[in-house]
Amino acid sequence: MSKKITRRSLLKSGVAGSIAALLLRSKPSKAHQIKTYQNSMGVLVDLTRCVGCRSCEAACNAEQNMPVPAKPFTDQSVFDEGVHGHKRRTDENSLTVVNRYDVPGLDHPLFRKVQCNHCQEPACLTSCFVAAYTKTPEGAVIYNKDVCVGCRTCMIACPFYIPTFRYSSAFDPSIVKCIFCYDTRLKHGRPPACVEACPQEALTFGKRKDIIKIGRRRIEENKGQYEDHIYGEYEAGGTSWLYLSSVPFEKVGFDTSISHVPIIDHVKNFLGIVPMVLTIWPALFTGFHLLATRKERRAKDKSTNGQEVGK
Amino acid sequence: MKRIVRTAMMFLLTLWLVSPARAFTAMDVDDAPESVTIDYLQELYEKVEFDHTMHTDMFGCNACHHHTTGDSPANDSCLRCHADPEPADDVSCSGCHEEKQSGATLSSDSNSNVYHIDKPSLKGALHLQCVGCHQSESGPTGCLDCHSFTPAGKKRFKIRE
Amino acid sequence: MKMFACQNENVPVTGSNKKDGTRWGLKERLLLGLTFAQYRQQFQRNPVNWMLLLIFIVGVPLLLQRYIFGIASITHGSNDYPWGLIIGFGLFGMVPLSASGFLLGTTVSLFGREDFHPIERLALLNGLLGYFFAVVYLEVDLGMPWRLPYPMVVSYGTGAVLFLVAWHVATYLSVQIAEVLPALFEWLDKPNWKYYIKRITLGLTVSGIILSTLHQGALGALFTYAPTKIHPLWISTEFQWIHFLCSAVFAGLSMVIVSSTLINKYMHWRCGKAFRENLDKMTLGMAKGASYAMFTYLVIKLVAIAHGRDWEYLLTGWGLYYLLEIGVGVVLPMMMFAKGARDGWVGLIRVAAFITVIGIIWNRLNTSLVCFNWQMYQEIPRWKEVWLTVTLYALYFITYRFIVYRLPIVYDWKES
Repeated sequence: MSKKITRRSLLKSGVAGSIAALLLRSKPSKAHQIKTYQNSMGVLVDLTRCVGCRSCEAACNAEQNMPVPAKPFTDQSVFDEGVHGHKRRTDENSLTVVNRYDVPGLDHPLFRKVQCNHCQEPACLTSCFVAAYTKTPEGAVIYNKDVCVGCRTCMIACPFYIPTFRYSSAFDPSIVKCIFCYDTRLKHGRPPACVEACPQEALTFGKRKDIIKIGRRRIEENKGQYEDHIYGEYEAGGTSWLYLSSVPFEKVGFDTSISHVPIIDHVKNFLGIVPMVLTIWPALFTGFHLLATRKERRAKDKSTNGQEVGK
Repeated sequence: MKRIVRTAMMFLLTLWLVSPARAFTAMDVDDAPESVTIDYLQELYEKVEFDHTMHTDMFGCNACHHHTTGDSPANDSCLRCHADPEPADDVSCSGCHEEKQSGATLSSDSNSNVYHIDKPSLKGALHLQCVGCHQSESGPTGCLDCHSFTPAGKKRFKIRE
Repeated sequence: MKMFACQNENVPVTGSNKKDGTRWGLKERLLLGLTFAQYRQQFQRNPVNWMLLLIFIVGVPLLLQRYIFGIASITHGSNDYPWGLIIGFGLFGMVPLSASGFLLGTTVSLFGREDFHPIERLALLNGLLGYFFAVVYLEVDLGMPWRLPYPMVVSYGTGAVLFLVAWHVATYLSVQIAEVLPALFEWLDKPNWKYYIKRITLGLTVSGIILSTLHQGALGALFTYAPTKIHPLWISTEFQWIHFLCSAVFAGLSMVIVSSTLINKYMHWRCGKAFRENLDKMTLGMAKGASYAMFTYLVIKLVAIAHGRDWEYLLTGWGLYYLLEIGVGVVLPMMMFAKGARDGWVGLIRVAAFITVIGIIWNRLNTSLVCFNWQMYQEIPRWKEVWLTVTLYALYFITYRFIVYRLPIVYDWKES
């Protein structure tokens, strides 16, 4: 090289290089990175088939020994019982609810079943600081009430507003949510109670990878009758309960702003710096301390030296 | 339920088969049963006495039995494979639609030649076919319009007397 | 109290011995050197005590109701709004205001700024009590408060942000207790016990900075678990933790200014010479630091909006509310701090500090309650929940006052 490398040129190139490195960082792969148990189960919910009979709610109530509701499950007036102008949601006595949507332009209402979606990388699980949630190989996201502290972070984290809390209990509260009938059925390879109860086969049970195929086949075979999208395939990193709809999903109460990465990915910006702070801060601040007190220490050394010299 | 219906159908079919002058063409509506007893949901609901003749008076066989009676399928998308159908041995719903959902036993690893991966179970098939048609053509669509509750059903749905 | 100080030369208690050389007994120290009758007299004359009594008369039964009948008897027991005012104010609001501990501890012990020494203990106490009562608020809000130690000893969810918060707050509380213990030891006439703590001061300070950085940031990161639920102007998944950390800096400093202002004004008899003489200078210094932190905060907020492309939101109703919060809560006091620090207007700084404290609580309540579920109905807490929150704050207040009345926090203990 003909040019001499001066301190200034080194500094300039160093700064330029750092800026370039910061700006031109290679983006992580945009491919859908979903972790799965290869053979986990799922349920395909077809909104074109549901007629709002609430057999699923009744079956769930019986299977999970929930309390008797105020209105029988044949009562269709519950669909008008929105609180604060909102549709029904799960609560400590209802692990699943059906909502009715009167979509303008359609001659019949659409119905949607709401329950835990048993996500592939659940937000509830990743946010729980006592590891109360477990994703089983069968696909269910189950809850251990023996370690739960009642902090309700999982309720904050769930993008679908599913977990509910037994606030009414002072001495035995817990989170309440659908567990995919894990203890009584899924563990033994059987479909959950709601799936078996549905007369219209709006709920199709099978391996997640298989029911995605079924969903795609249904969309293909019935051109124009379905939105070309399986809700839950990628949302929040992918869910086990997947949905087909004949109208755009936001019209039937789905949150379409949920990104296609697991919720924990949003938190990783902070989690990533934790080890950095733990390792760098001690040295950094000890260094600051030495810098800040150097005058004092110099004065102290001088006085001790002075004393020694004076001896 | 399937045993009774299947027995009835087998009986009729045998009659039809051993009848010497019969050639292999689409089935004849006159050989269909007048009424079919569907008692599949016995636990929660009472059995249904299905008026078969009323339906055969209004619609062709392929409206409900797809192409199993030998008629061309009503749905165009089925024509791709079933353009020239032959009558099946068993045209009852239960002959093809099983009690359990096929998805539960479907494995994409095994038998990849099966096209119909989306076959509903018997209960689903009955409701999707019957209620679906009733919704578009007019007919009973409410659950209790066709089958009333058994005491167990009332308990399941938490109906107070 | 001033009246008794004029009557009795021994009052207030400033050291181990009375003027005649006899030692103060523990009971006398607890009663501020007054007789029981005098103590009761000054207690009754203070209007604040009557207000506190009113708060507790309703508040204590509410507290009992919460524990006997469950949270649903006090709050709406909302599943859509799992966190309400108790956590929104008690934890998210009080923790940044308690950052004063590590800030002044670092300033004095790490950066060697001995000129802030007179206010260091007040800042440490402010920090300790703030965190301690944040845990008290947590124990009221937690569904199973008897299981508080679970993330420490029973079951570990190590990947969760709250796991970090739990461990750090627990560790940091120990650090802060250790940093405030010297004051207690002096008051108990056990100055020798200070030796062991003095030896590890630097270590305590550095761990205080590490722990504070992480858990102040972690409280912000908690909200990144619900990016779809909080209004985009109040949530930034990349920068939320920095927002909360940076705002904790000026929150802690402002809280110390507020606290020292109130103590200097209403408890002047308690303030020692060093405290009184240096308070204005230290206040100016803290204001300077706070204004730097506020400026940094505003820049990071701007970067977050740019990064999230949230500009359009500024033009909506929510956007105006956001600009109001930033304007009144940060920009206004920042300018007041800067002006006051430059021209020596301590009064202006004190007002700015009050505004800042309100602004911080406002921001935390916005993030956790008001702008949470912004597309849903707005949750308004029940009066019982509000009263219970105020009751717990009153408890914090009387604990704070109890300690500052007695321990050598704002005055120097005369050992003998």
